[in-house]
Amino acid sequence: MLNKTIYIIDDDPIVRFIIEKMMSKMDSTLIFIHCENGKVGLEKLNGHQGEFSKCIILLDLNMPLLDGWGFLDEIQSRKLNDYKNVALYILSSSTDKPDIERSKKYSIVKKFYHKPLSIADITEILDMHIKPAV
Amino acid sequence: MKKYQEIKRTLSVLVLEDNDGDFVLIEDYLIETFRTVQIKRCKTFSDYKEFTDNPTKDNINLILLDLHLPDLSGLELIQKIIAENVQVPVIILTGYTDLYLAKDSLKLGIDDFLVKDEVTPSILHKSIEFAFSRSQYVMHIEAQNEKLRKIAWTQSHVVRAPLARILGIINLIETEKEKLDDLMFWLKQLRISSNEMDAVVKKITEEAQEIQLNNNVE
Repeated sequence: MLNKTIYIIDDDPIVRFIIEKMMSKMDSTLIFIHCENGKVGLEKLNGHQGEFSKCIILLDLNMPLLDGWGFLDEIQSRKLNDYKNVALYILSSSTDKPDIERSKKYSIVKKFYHKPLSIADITEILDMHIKPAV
Repeated sequence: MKKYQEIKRTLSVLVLEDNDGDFVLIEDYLIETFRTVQIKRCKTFSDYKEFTDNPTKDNINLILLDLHLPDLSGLELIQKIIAENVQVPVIILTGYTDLYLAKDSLKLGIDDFLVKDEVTPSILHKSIEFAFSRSQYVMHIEAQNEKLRKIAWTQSHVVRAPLARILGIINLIETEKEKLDDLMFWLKQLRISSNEMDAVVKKITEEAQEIQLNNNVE
């Protein structure tokens, strides 16, 4: 069985590093792919397509080059069937209501998390989509 | 934003009125009060559309609106005129029969309504002056609201970014009993984030003070 992949799409390297540290503590088999903006995220995700394993995307909103919204627009314009193994979460420092409302228009978004991710958030994200190895 | 005194000198009024008698009266009053006034008349709503569709049209800074034009009237007329003239004060000219509609239209953003049989040059003058003062006030508030929206956005995205990072680092430190080296690394990151937040907060404070300064200037 292939290991689960976590895409962290965020322009802040420290934020990416914190997420990786926290998550790998809870599951040391996770594979992390760091993307510093939405454009890089799309490129790296394209390489992932067709693979059997599930992947989780943690998406920041406010980023240079291609922000979270642009990334979502691009993802949404493709066939959703391609993404049945993908669980996408928004992870933003924004607590702006309009942002949360806007995110609901994208069916691929599973949930909107505010930074930072707590242990409980991570448990929720990992448990829902990754069954512990027996 | 032009000051009222300036506008008064270069006042350009659009009168939407199909009745010749009513128009001549209003025209006289306007000229009596504002000697240099420019008056443009439209008899119908389609006249008005033709006028506004012309890209070289004269700048209009006030609209006087009769509630009954041959091709459009009442609420629909009011709504269309207001929607297309957000920055221009609109005063309604009405008979007694439309008094209720005229009163209600104040809520839609109409600046004032005048009953035709009661209009005098001084009433018209006062109404126009109030309309300009009100519309300048509203525009001022709108500009401030825009700034406040920007500040709210900054708070949510820019201020919360380093704050969230700080909280995330604290989460991480709490979950592990790291070696001292690691702890020193995270303390350094905490300091960087805190400094960044400090700078953002200072900038926001400066911007808020700018708003106050602008108020004092006016």
